[in-house]
Amino acid sequence: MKSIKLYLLAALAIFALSISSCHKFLEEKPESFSSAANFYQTEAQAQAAVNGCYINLYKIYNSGLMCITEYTTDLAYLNAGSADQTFGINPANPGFGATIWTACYNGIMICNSTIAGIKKATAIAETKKPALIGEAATMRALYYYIVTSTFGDVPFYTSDASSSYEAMIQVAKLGRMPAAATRDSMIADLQKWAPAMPQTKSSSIANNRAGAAVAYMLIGKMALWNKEWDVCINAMQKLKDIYGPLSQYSLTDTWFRNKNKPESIFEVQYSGIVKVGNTATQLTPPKAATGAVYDGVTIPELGSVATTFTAATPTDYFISLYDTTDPRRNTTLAYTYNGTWFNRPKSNNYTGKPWPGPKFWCPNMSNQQDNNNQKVFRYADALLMLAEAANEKDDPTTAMEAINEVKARANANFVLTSYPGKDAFLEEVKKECARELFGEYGRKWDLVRWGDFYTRVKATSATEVQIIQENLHPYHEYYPIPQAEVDRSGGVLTNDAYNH
Amino acid sequence: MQLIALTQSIVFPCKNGNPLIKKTWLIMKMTIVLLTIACLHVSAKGHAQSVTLTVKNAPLEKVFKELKKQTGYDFWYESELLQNAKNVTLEVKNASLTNTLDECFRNQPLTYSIIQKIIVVKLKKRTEFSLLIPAQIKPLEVSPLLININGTVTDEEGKPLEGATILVKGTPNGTKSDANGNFSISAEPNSTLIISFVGYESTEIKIGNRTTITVQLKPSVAVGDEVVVQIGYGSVKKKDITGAVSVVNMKDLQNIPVSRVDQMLAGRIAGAEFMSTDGAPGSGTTVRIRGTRSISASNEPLYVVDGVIDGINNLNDLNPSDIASISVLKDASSTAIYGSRGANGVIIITTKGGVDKNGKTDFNFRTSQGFAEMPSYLPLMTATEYAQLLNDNFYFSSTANQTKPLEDYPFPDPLSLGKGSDWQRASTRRAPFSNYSLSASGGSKNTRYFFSGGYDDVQGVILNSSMKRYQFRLNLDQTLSKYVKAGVRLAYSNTTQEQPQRYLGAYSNWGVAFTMVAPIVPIYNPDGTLNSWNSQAYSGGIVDLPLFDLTLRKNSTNTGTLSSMLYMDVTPVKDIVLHSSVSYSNFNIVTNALVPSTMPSRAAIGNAISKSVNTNDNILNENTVTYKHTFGSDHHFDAMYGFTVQMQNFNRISMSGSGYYSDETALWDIGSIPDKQNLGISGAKELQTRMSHLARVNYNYAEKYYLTATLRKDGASNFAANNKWAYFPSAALRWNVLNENFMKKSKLDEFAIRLSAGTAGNDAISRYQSLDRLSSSTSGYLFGGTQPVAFYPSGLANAGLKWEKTAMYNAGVDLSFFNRRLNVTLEVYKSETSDLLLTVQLPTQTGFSSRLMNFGKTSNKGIELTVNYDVIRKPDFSWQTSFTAAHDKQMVDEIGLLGRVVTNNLTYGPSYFINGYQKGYPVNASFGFQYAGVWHSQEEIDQNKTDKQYVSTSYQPGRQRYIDQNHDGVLNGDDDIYLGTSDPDIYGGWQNTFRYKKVFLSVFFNYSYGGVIYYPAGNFLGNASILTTGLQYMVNRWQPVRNPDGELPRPNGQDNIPNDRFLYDASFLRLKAASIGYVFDLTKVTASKLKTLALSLNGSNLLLLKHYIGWDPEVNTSGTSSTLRRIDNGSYPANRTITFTAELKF
Repeated sequence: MKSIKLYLLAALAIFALSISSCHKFLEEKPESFSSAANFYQTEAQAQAAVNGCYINLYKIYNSGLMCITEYTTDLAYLNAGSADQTFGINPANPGFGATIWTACYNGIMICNSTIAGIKKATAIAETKKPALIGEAATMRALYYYIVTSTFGDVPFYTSDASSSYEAMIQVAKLGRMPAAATRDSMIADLQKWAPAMPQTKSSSIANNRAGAAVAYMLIGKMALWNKEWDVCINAMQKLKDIYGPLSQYSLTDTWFRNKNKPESIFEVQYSGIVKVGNTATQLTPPKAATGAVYDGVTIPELGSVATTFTAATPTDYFISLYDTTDPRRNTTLAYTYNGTWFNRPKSNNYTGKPWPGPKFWCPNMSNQQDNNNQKVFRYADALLMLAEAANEKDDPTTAMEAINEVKARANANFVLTSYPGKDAFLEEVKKECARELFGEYGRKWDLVRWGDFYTRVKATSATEVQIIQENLHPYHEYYPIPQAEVDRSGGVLTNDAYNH
Repeated sequence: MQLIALTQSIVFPCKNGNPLIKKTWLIMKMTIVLLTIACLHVSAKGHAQSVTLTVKNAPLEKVFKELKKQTGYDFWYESELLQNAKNVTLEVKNASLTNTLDECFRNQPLTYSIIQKIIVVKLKKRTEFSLLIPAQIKPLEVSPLLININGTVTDEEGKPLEGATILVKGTPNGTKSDANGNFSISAEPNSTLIISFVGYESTEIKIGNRTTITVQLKPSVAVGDEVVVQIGYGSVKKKDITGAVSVVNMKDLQNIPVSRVDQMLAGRIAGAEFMSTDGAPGSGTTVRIRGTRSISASNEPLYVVDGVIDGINNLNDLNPSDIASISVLKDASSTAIYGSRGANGVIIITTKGGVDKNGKTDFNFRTSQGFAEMPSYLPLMTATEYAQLLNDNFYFSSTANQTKPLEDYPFPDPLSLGKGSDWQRASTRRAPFSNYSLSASGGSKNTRYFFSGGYDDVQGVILNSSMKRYQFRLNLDQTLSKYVKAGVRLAYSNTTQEQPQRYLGAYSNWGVAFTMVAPIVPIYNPDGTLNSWNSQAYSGGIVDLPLFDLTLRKNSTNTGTLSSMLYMDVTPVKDIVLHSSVSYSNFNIVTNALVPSTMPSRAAIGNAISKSVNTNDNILNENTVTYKHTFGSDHHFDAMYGFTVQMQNFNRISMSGSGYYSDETALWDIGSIPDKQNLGISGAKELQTRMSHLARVNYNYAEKYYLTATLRKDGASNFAANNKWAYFPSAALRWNVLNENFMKKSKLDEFAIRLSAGTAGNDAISRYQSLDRLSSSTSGYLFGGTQPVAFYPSGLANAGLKWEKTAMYNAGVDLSFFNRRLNVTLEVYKSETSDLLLTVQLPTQTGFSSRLMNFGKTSNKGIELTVNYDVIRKPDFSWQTSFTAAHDKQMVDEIGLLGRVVTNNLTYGPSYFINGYQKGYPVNASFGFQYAGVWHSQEEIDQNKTDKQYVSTSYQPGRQRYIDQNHDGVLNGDDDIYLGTSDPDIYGGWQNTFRYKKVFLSVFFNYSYGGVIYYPAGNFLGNASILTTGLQYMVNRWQPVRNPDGELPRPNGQDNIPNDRFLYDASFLRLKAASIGYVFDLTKVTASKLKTLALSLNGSNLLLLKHYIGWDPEVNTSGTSSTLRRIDNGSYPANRTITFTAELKF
């Protein structure tokens, strides 16, 4: 019995010691992920959070966005059955709009959280903060630019929705806000941070990060939407200071396969196996079952293992815009390869439609994997924006100078020698944008901004494709907010234009 | 009492915190509990010859039981004898046994005699006086008429039985068999011997003139009363059960060689639905007990193996032949003892232990050899039929084509193409499998052991799929002293699965799935190499056609499961048992996958590998103290208190890489990657802890009225800081109506009514869900060609995250008729689940798409019937049948403001909603459009512009149309309506076992009636797609000339509209298993070296009657998904197997 007592005592003593508490035992202490509360301790951590701001770009800059900004315009169409391609979209069938909505707002939430985290961080020197915040703010502005251009009026917030349930719920209750106000807020924000960011060509910034040039470009784009011509001119002049004359940049550098060339302002980075896009599948002539044969022509550079889908078709209007001597004609449109005609353009006595040109092709494409960078902004675009804004501002000199830089690079003979008048000049800008920038994710947004989306598409693509003729309505200028989002908002979000 | 005090101090760990104490204390604590208990020795009284008894008007049988308990003497009598016995009123103190017995038998029509330690009860006869002479005097022994008979008593396997009782019928003469089963007795010639042994049927043998006999006893058919049922932290006799507990009769399963435990159970338990996640070798199981309750949390039941919670990773980790018993706890009264884990039901499995065989060991060797094959093939188009479809498509593609001659069509001579490529048969095979297992069990008085080993080699019907598994088990029980018993359970299983095929037929993989590639696509090139060009993939494309996956890819999963448990039972004083156990289990899941550079899709970019290592472990300590006592003669009371602590670790490392120079070494020489940018790695570590107090009280009065009450208090780490603890109470009543006096004359053998109510919980959500989270990624944006780490918010804190609770009510009736030949159990239940753990979709403008919250309510009502009937019970021929049926109705009662929670939609086109939760609809509801044939003419289309009867994605003759539910002329989500539930109206099984002498035949059917299954591949195969092949019935599609009245769509018709044409009645009747066997007795031939050899031929999944067009309506490609049942989106076909089994006992 003595031994029993001893054991008892020992046991009791141990239990008394291990008054370790159920509380501790059931506490959760994550060891394989962080929380905002214990992050932002170093500059490197802040940079890692800024890196997160870019991730959603991959969900946006691919064949989906290419379709809704380029193949649903006056320049091209693609009728392979999707609702996006044929204006079959509606709130219940929101097409690529659903992806844009989700990806942009996830990006916005991440940017807001990153900016809030860096601002609050006590361990990071105040002097280091503006450049970091500027980069996140630029990405945030890019997401808002995309989401306002696609949907028009949308919810707008810059608060950190990830900070608490209550903060998230506040954001969840937001309805559509005027897009112009959203753009004004973003313009003001970018104007605040841009001076703190690298004032140099994007190609000179290490690791393809966004610098001040991207911020100025976004300011210009959003100012054009808001018809704040001065703001645009001011931002474009800053870019002119950075980029200088366009003539120094080669036209072939605008090809998608040529990455991060000096003219580039922003492109979404793709590479090999790690990050692959898929836009080239719809911008390449159809491949035969074996070999590197594409619509009857052997193109060794494209390889024999590419997968091509139904390619986008340029409209007659677009084809008509190019002078046969325009070097951009044969890079944007493909009639021949190395002098051999493709079957389609050759048909009907060489009057068949050309294919999208080598500018968009991806050499050695493996299946659907397009390794090309996707062009978002480049300097020629900035000059055309400047031309438009200056024209609107009744400054023909600046406008002529800007457009002629673009024209002259293509062919010195193309320059406008005399100002054709305000309206005619604007029309010329629209045509020049088509010639220079087709396939660079912006045509539809320009059409909507100019207010002639419906009339131009009705006069071009719709005359060539019956289903577009049947389906197209003026309200298609903006995408509907997905019905699922309308439902979740409890009626705060609406799609009045689509409720016909 | 000191001991109880100690236990209490163990089980109430303190409240205040001491941050310095580390987790190791916990383990130490557990060990000390065991050690402490082991060292305690408290004396208790053993059996005594003196009797103390107070009974009032008690049945004689009850008095016998009490006397047996006090003295250790067995009673032997034929039950009919006691029917005329009078009840006894008695009060004795320290009386001798014989005095007490004399008192009992006073005025009875019965009398007794004592033979060794057996009290034989007999009818008083004319020779009454002689019976009063003590047996040992044996006055008749000297009679010259008697002969001496020597005999041996053996069990059913021919092994000697020690202690069997041998009586000469009609005399008080008797004896017992010795350790070798031998006995010697004197009797008159031509008299009859009655041989009996506990647990065996007593046998009468006419001696005739023989002087030596051998008697083989048969195990008695366990009558309901004697079956002991595991109920969690204890066991009860079946007749004392208060809750709804089903027991699987393992004897029914003896002759059915299954390699999977779920195959053993399907259809045998009313109210439990077992489904394979697919038919692949070694794949998992998904189980629903009484349907679905939760939406985002798991609905899988809790598995408790040998008392260990979370000790197995998968039901199929267990070797089916190791299982001794299975109980399924269904209602709250029985599951509440598992508290937070019990809401989905509990399956308690006990593995075989050793038995006292006097130091001898029984061996059992078993092997099964057989094969599996496809039970059927999908009725797909031949190349001829498909070419005609493409010609039709050409016909429609322009009006000019319609007047062209056939020579100008893509396939001028479709008939010449014949059958074309049969991708289904090319991808599948008749696949052999074999299984070997050896087990040994035995023991002596103090040591009992069971060990087994098994090896399975199973090839899958899909080329190159296979499973190899080996398993070991050691179960050891040791009686350490009069007071202490201890034991270990140790099991290890290691499974390697190979499953190279990625795309089984999911509709999103239409270009490469072996059920979808067109028959005009050749399997081989003319030069004999594999073809990689799918001409039907839009304008044609190089893809990994099925044979590439099947022959080149590697995809293996290796799972190692170690499960160990050490327990100790201490009986310090009479009526009290302390039980303490520590278990440790460890799961290692390693996956290795290689897509070699020889795959067409990798031709330009090289090979790709992915690997992952998951290491999970589980430590559980459980301590209970049980007190059991009978107060007076009628107040039976027992109480149990327990305390448990559990800790689970989850560790994961995974990596992927691509572009290695060598396919052969890429999987293992992972550092040889040419470009480090192509290397991706990630890892995670998670910890989950739980702590519980539990208590149960059972009381019964005179075995008439029973009360059970349980309470469990559970704490779990994966809930928000203020919601970690919850209480789960329950109570149950049972009334054994048959034991009432007014039922005395009843012919029933059992009649009991049970009622229960209680609350159980569900904590089956992953860890850290209540915390905010910053995720990291090194596969984010490319900066300068590299991917530096990126951090981003991915989870929102939820301070309110708490338990999901289910209140359950159950009523049951147990009936037994005709001398227990017919047993019927009927259960009715209702449950209400609230605070549903629900992944609520958020407006994505918040940047988050969903969040786990407690939201909404579901309810569940059902009825279950189990019937067991021994139709024929004769010595040479028997037929036992059992039948189960269950009905269950599950509804979504509340889903908050959300209106609808979408769980599945068609991922093409507008992504219309197929499955989800909507208030007022069944939990497993299916939604879609209503098919209304095709437009037959432009007039119909024009008429509809005013009528607005139908909507369509394409208003052309031959295109599909659907009912316009709201007549608004617009095809949208408003026309996507409720079409049915995937839950069957009634389901269950029907088992039959026939025995004629030594031939056994067993036949098992399972069935399901009602419910629907959605076939998403129909969007291609049933819509005359030109991208994929089609179901053969699509030859009847609309065509203006050939078939103008057709109601099936014209070519190129995939319109991405989920509709009732692809929703099939999921009813089926399946001959799930049939087996015929014969048992050879080898004892004589081999001089007892070998005992028996049983040979059997078995088939599974032999016949399936169904409406469904796919292979099998009993599949679920969404795995163990909480939300989706019966979705067949590319499932591995359930096999048919034929097996020959030989089992040798020695």
